[in-house]
Amino acid sequence: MSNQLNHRWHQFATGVVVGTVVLGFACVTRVQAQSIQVTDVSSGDVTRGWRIFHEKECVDCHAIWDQGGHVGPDLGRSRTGQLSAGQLAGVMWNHIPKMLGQIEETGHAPSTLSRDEMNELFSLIFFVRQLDEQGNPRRGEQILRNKGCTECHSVDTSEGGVGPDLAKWGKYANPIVWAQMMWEHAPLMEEAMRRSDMVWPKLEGSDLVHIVAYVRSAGVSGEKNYLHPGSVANGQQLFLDKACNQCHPARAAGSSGSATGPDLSKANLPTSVGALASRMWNHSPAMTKIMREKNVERRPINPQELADILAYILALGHLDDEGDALKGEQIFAQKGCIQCHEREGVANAIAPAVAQLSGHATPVGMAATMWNHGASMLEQMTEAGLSWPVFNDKEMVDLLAYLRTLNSATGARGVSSQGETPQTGKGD
Amino acid sequence: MKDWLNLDRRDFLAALGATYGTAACAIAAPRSWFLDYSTTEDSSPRERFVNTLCPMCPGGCGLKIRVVHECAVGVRGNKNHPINRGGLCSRASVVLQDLYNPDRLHRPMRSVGGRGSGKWEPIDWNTATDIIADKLRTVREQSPQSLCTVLGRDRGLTRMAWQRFMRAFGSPNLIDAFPDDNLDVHPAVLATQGIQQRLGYDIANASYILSFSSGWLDAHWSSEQAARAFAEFRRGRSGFRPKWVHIEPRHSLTGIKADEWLPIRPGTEGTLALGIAHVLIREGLYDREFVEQRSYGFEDWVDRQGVNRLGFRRMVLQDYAPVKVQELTGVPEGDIFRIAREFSVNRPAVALGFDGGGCGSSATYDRMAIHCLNALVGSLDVTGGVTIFQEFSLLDDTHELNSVASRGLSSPRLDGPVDQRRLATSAIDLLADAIEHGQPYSTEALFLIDANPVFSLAEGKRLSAALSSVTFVVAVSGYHDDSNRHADLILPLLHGLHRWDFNLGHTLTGHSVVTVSQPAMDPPSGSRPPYDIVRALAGRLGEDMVSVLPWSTSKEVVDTVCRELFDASKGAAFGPANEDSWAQLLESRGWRAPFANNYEEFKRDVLDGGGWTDPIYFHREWDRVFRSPSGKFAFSSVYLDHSFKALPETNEVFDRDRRCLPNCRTQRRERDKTYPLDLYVYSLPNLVAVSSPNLPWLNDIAGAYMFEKWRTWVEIHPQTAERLEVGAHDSVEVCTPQSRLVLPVKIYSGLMPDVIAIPFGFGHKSGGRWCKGIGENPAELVTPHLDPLTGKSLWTATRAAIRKI
Repeated sequence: MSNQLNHRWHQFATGVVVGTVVLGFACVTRVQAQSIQVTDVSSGDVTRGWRIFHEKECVDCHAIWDQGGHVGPDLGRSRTGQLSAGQLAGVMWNHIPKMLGQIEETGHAPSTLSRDEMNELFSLIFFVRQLDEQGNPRRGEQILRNKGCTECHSVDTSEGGVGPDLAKWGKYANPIVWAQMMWEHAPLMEEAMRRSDMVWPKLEGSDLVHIVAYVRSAGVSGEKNYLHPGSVANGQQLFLDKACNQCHPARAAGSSGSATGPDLSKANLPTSVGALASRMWNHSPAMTKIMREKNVERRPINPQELADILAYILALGHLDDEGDALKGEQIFAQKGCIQCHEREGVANAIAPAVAQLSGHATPVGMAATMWNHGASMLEQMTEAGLSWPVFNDKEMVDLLAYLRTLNSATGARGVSSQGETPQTGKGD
Repeated sequence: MKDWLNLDRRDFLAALGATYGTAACAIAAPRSWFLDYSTTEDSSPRERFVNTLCPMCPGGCGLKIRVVHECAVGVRGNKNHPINRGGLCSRASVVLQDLYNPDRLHRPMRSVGGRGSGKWEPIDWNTATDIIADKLRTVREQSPQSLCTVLGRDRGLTRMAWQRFMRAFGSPNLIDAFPDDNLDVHPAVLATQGIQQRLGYDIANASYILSFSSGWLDAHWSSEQAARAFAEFRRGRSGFRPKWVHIEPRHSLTGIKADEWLPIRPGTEGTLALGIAHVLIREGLYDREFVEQRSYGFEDWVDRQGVNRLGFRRMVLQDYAPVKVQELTGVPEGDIFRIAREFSVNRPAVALGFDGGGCGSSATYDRMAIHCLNALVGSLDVTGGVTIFQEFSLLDDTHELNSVASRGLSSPRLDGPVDQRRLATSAIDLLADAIEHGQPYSTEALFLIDANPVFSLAEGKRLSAALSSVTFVVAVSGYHDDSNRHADLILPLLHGLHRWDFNLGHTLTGHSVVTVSQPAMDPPSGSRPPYDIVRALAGRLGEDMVSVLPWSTSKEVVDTVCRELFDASKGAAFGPANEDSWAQLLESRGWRAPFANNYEEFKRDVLDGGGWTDPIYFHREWDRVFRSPSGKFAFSSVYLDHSFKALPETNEVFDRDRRCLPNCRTQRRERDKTYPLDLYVYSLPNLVAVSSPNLPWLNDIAGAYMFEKWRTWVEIHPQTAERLEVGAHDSVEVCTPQSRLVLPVKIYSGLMPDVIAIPFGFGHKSGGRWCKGIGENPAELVTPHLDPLTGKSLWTATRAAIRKI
């Protein structure tokens, strides 16, 4: 009996251990599948990205805000709405045949990009897409008048007088500095406007950028005030430190649980810094009211801190939704990937086994791998009579989610940490 | 012979043994003991490249010097330098000829046999410093203001050091030998805009250029940059060809490249500009918005005393009708109408009147008239128009003055009372008179720092005589020259490629540029950098003097410059053009992402790259651009009005008004039977730097386009030559009321009839083997005639005659 009990106990214990291991394994797998953080997709150095953009001759085909070639689209100006990292990788993938054809036409040898370099390029592209067009001073003047700002503020000390003369703000070229100053003074302004029975003016689109351009054209010199491109990591921390998360849940930052504001990772936010600053201005009275109700302290924010916070908020838009691994598996089969990438490594396969791809299953990793091996892939696919697969919208995200599940599921290892040179069956 | 062969057996065996022994040693010894032809890593030529400052002019270009075995052996342009972008002008190309010139001075020299005798003896640095310090100590005790320093074209460390030295010493007499190059004050800009900043012309982006006797393409202060801008102007835009009209008495090297050349009588350029303004106003072709919102004195106005004052519009419409201007200038009336209309229609249009060109100064009123054209078409501080260089200072001197310095600095300056130079803080043309008459006080000591005013001034001979009455004269020079010939001591000027230095410059589009100079090779033993000379003197004079020069070496000064640039938190070290683009993209939107992460990286980048630049220029910062009392562009200069108030009132109120307006010539000169010709002296750009005449390659090409070299000639129009019965191979005597010179004749149709032209650059009485006694100096012919607003000599007012020999 006791032996039987012992045996059962042994079975139970074994079951618990095995179950725990399986559960743990599953959790680890799940965690790995979701492991891409907001800081991962915008962690590169934009200045290094600019250098790489020129050193690798990307500039020969692509311009950034008019500076560069015109073979491909202008990476700063192209306004295709919010673009996530996965979508960017998908866009790059889809255009590989065309890009390679253009490169061949220009006589350039395609350069290779390490994963770190691709990461810097991703950060650069995200950053330059956040920049605003140069403002139009005439439109700025109209906006100031139409919104009633000139009833309180003068720009050349000739009218107004309740609020400060805006001309002295001409040294602030960055709309974030304006947003910060408006944020700091919003309660006072709200009170003054309430007394004057004025309506809080709403800014649209790039209104703030035009206003800045107008004020700067008023002709005041002086040392300019510049901000460093925001740090997503700092912004994420500041989002918590400044208690933004008490009202706004944000996927990667967590919330206090009683959030009343929109989830910033899901909200349809503007894609440029100036427009986002305008949105912040518009919601200032509502934010002030809710903060008072919730007894949330209005903590001072300096311009660079606000730049970091906005960088974080904008980076949330680059973070992909969680991909669907099951759909990704179907896509892997439907798009014909499986015809070259075997599930198990085969010595003479024409492409690396699928398990080996899991190390590249991030947007940056996929983009780097695709860039470095695109030419040989295209050649082999052409020889094999296969067409280049096109991934639309979320398909690349789902595919990446599927690939990320493979690493632990198959127990495959051996992918280099750099990951830009997957082993193919031909031993390249 | 017999004795020589008389060897005994012992000697023979000893000789045999020695021979075998030597041979054995030779065989056994390493090869490298004798000759080393190996190509191992250790013995390969030590080659390196140094990015540094071009020392040949103050333009501030960047050079890349090739150094092999610690000797500079090659020169090319620094591709990343924003001013020259890899280009080299003719002067920069011969920098090594200057560096290794056998006539360069390397040791301090003391005059023997009396000043001006041309005899010198070398002395050591300590002796030289002792002699100077002893003298300066006495001067400072008695009257510190009686020390005068004439400073050359330096725009960096040497200028900074002497400014500090003179201020602490207590002397207001730091005088520029080349005011237009160095003062940063264009008098016309001070009168109309109230600022003391240099101008740039955005030639590359202009649609129409009207240049008035401006040698901007061959004699520009930054000739390489001007050439590049011209190239962009010519080919930068598809489907549109910008136009350039050049107006000058002579078809110059600059004018040859213009679309159109209009000859004009010397000294009437301002009159023509007002004739063009007349058409613009009469036909309503001017920029009404700019004139109404950003200008003052265009219409008649009322001053604070309630007196009606004449405005620019009424004066121009009354006095400068094209038909009258034709008579004065020689430019046909039809051309005046046409040019005015073209200038108005093709905007941005820019009128150049300041940069390079003829010698001496043009009248300030002429310059004001030309500058008013830019205001009339709204070209001030716009792309393709006039840029006002942003203020940028380094190493500001904030030391408090002691009582000695304060007392000395409160004294009037030597170079004339203010009413002789209302719009200039320095007027070297007035110096000779002050020294000669001992007014307002005697000059006890005088420094000549890389300057040769005896050669370059119209009244050089008079200054030469005046120098003899100065008690003590010291020159810091690279070569013997006409001025340091009158010195007691000459201290050698260390060549720019041997020393640490910096240069404050600008691009034509208004961007600030700081070029760093670093030694390409070790200096000759016993030499001293210019900064060390000043500091050593300050050290001998006391703690209060040396405290204003706290850096022990010029390298330390450059370190501080780098630190201040880093702390400025703007701009970046020179890099590829794309790095400038990055800064422009970001800074125009209020962002900044420098390539250097910390000071050490920044300094390394600055030294490796050759300097620093701020590639951003903000247009339409009106409070920076206009600092006149009205805060606007002053067609009628209130600044001048205040300046003239001290004068007795005249009954003719319009005379007083016209003093504040661009008041150019309205009467034709009377015919002069003795001197019927106009003399036009123009500079040979290759020879304008102090050291240039000592460089044979520059002498070779100085007059290449006239097929002349190594001599001075006089150019005569064919009609004039025919009338005077002068031929191409004749020599003539050129006479002016001032002097006479015998010169060979060049018949040149690129002149206005009845104008003769002589190049300036040759004619040194002292100097090296390739300089002394070559050609003649036409400055001797120029009749002294001073601009009433600046005290500068006007070279275009001289009448001349020719006598065939």
